[in-house]
Amino acid sequence: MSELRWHPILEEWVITATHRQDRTFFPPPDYNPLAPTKPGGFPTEIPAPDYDIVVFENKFPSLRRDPPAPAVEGTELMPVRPADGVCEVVVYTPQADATLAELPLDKIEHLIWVWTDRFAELGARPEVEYVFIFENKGREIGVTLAHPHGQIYAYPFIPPKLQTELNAAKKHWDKTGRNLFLDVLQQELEDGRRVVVQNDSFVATVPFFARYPYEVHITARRPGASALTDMDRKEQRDLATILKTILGKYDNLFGFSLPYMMVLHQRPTTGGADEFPHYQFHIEFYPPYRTKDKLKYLAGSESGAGAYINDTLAEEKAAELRALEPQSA
Amino acid sequence: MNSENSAPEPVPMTKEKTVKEDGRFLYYYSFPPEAPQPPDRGESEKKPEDADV
Repeated sequence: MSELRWHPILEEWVITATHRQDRTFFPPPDYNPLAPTKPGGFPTEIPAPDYDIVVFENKFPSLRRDPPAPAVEGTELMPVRPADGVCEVVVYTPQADATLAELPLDKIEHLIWVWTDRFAELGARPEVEYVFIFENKGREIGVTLAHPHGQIYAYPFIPPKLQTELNAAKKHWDKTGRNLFLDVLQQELEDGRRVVVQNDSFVATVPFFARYPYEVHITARRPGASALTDMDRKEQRDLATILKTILGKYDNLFGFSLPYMMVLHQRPTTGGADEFPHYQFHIEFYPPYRTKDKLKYLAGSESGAGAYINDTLAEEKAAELRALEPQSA
Repeated sequence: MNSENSAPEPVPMTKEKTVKEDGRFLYYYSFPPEAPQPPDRGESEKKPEDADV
């Protein structure tokens, strides 16, 4: 059963997807569903003996093409609608024990090409309003398959956090005629203390307003770059480079491969770059560790009030990451 | 609701779309080798003090 239920108090859609309770949970290596299917071996999700990058529709999707009718009746105050959309799995490599940080630069660039293609194809679907590309890495994040992979959710609505960003960016644009993200970036560059690394096309910072101790944002420099589809080959390569650098620094932080949530924030697919000059492509990382052996929990204030408490200073954490050499654990 | 996205820049990538037994789509992406790139590509990182704002 899956459906969208309207939360009239927060004014947002909640996805119910009860079938996901049955999804695969840390299978033994011989039954890894993301591995290639070897001759005579366990038939995995990928019926081929080898591959470069594979994308397939999730077996336990929160959103699906041709969804079933909702199992409950909604009301005017609390409507319900079918869980239209697409949920995909992106398998980065056939190598089950690799991580994104460990992949060669060319492979990360290839992944960016695939993300770009998926954004364009899924964004063209009539029911889709927002294509959200992300990776959950590590048991601490709730990952149930260790094989390196990410996910894509093609939502039939603009998710609340993205809508908040869009509203703030539009408000700033209307008031100043400038891009909010680039104004923030300008101040970060002028200050310099929170910049971790930069190249011709992107800047990585622990932002002034970081909510996690090692939160990093990678922001596109060029005005008008509000989605992957706006980028040229040079920018794609620069994105791969800075991604690999940040991931390598993360893995050198505590001596183990750092878990994280990595989320790509792009413009909605309801319009093109010309309609979102106020928005800017960026990637956000939320690692759950605040020290080598302590996790940052989203507890009462964060979950109940939406007010984050960061126990650290962004300036200090940026300096820490800046000083680290990129290295895979 | 619609797509106004411009076409992404062409890249040396092939995509094969298949349908699994249960009707789910599966895509194989492959990357034929291309001509070597100039050696300075991907090595353009700057330190914060080099910020050109």
